[in-house]
Amino acid sequence: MGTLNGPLIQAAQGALQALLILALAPGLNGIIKKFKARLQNRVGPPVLQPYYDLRKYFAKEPVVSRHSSWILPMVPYLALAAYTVASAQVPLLGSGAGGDLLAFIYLLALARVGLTLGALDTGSNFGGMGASRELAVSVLVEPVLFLSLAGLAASAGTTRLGALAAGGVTTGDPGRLLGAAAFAFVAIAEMGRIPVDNPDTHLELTMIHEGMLLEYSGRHLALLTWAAEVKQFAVLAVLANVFLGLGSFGHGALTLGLSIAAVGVLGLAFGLIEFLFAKVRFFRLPRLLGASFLLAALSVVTVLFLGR
Amino acid sequence: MRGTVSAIPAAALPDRVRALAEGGARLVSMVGTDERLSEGFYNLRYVFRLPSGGVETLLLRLDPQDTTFPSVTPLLPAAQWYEREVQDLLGLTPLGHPDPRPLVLHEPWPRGYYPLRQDFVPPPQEALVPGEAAPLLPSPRVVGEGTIAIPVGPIHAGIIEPGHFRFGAVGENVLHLEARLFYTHRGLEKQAEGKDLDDGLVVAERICGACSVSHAVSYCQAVEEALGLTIPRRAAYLRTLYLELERLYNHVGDVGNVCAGVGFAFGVSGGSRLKEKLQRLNAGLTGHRFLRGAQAVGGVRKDLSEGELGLMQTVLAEVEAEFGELTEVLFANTSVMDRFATTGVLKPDHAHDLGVVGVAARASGLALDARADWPHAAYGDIPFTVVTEPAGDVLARVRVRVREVAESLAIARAAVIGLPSGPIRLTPAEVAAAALASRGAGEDQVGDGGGRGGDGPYRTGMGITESPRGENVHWVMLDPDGHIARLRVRSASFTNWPAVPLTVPGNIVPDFPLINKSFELCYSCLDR
Repeated sequence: MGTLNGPLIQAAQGALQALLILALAPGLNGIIKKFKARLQNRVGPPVLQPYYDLRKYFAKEPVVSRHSSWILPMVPYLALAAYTVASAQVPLLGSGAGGDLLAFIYLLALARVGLTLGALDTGSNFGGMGASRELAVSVLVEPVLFLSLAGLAASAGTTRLGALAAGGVTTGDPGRLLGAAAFAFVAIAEMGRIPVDNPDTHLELTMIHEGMLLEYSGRHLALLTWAAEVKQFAVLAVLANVFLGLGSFGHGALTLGLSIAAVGVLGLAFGLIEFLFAKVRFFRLPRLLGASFLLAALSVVTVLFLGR
Repeated sequence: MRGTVSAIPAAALPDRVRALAEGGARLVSMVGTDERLSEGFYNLRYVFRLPSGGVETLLLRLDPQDTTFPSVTPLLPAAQWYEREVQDLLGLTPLGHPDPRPLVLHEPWPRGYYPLRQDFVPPPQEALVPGEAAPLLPSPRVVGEGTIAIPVGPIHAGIIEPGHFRFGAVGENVLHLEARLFYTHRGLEKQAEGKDLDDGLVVAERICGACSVSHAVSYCQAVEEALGLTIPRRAAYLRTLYLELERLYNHVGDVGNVCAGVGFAFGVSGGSRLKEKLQRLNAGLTGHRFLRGAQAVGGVRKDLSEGELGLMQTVLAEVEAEFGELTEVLFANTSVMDRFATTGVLKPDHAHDLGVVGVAARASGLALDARADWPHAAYGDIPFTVVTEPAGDVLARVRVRVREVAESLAIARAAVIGLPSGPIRLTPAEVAAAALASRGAGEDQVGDGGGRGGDGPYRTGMGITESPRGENVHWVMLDPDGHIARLRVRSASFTNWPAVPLTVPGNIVPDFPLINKSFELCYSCLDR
């Protein structure tokens, strides 16, 4: 493993991993959509439909409101770039790989800032409502995101995500499982899925993430759609590798394969949750995410005082 | 449905209306006509249903020199839209109306052009420039620290009809909602003028897709009443079957579609699958997925054979079983029930004051059902329960629909069992003869809504059916040649739309689509 630790090699590894996630992320969404359709007794779109959609969006001309500033057309690039770099932080190849958890968290936050600014830029109602709801949700989500990883970081004595994954050999570690449960709520919110948000709706008044995208079209919409898919993959990969400890099976192709399969299985699990529940009333979200905060806090306590 | 007509002076109108309203009478329709050529007046007819089940019509004759009349909206809120519509389309001004803004004709329409006047000439094209005409009076605004106005529509992100909704809100909490509708006014009532009875039916049947049968049957009943025709019993039973088939595909689809308001995709896809099944049945039975073309003045056009009735029974049995499974899953899902319960409550007194009908009224505890109140088609022969729920929320409206599906299936089965043999319609010759006999039906006309006793050559009639959304009322006036002089359509959506904005304050903005879907009102039933 020592030979791989050179910064250059690690950077190259991260870049390759990011490219891989860029390529696979739409497919993951296609699989989830297909699975959900089958659960609803529908045939559903082809698994490759998200790729066709991206090709279609890229071929179309982006229309930009004349009331918007330079922020609006810049945001799609910022969001995709931030999520792609964030996805490079995930230890998909195993415990030796991956980047820093703080970088991961702040890259997600950077994209969120960009998205909300872009949504406010045109002055449209739905952008404003989407942005305001996104920030309201993020106030609840970000502490949980941080806290759920904090316990593991404190225990491992590092903020390197790969090293946190390495600790996961011990199965049934209660602190890790509590953290995983807390992070699962974060994942739902970050993926914009039911019961927090509905990725399939076109009811303007209920949208969160989709509301922020309403003013985008063509290439810009393609980039943002792709960005959301990359983020979904990255968040699920953190859950699979860091919390469930799949990243601890050494390093290399086997781990990579296992990780990708686990991301797929988790995607289906969240698809099942989406199928089973309705969207929760917006003002009930603090209760839901408050529960996840409690889980995350318990995980920190457990890891610090019992986990060792 | 005939009752007493009393011509009253304008000054006496408010007192009479107050007395009727306090006595428990319900405003069923208000019809404005331009009868200057035949009678020398504009006429306003206020049609009330009395608690006894009778009908009383107040006839107000307006001199063409003085086109104002006293507004009764302050006494009877249900009159609000009728009076505003008469103001837009006939140029008659309700004095003292609390909200005299234009309703049907929006800004681009120039002032001074009243489509339902007999001497109406369409405005020149260049007069129809947006912004050139008199602007609308301002709509109410919510003011105060932290309040925002959220305008939504009339163009929406989804594929729905146009409606503009203006929320006054603090954050996500709705304080006030103003709905502006009538964006695609088609002038169908005007188009119907001068048409013969068959062409009038074509217009009536196309007022709305999802209530095609109800509008068609209401129209036919109105004409049949005006002509003094009685349809064959088999036709009455077939009409009942078609009306229930329409209710079934609507209710099943609507229950599923409400789930879209909370993102519960299983309910949405289940409902649309069963709706599709029923619409394919419709196509198999009548050749039309919306059951169009099956009605005729004097009966029905399309008979149902034994084989077709068997097919219908089979499909309905399948739908009954599958819909039962779907609703079981729905009512057992706590996350869905949490959203449905207590959301969008329509208070019974609001429903009563605004004259709300149909599912919305029954879900607020008012036992109003045209099938029971005005027994039409074969409903007088078939026992059924008028389903009510007390709560008035989204859940109550869903529950009413679910329980009415069971009632509809039972009615359809009873109609098949009781289906008499015999002709399905009067011959076109019989109808034509009645239409031309300008005095033939005169005896029936004594005290009728025409206000002419039996003397005049103009005949009137009213037809009422229960559509999936509620009572649809058609009122017709036929000229001596048997052509339509006036067709007045008061749909269930017309009475129910004003109630929707009242149910939203106190809820949050993302709940509006759910509330709106639970009413499932029709835009095109307004845009006549």
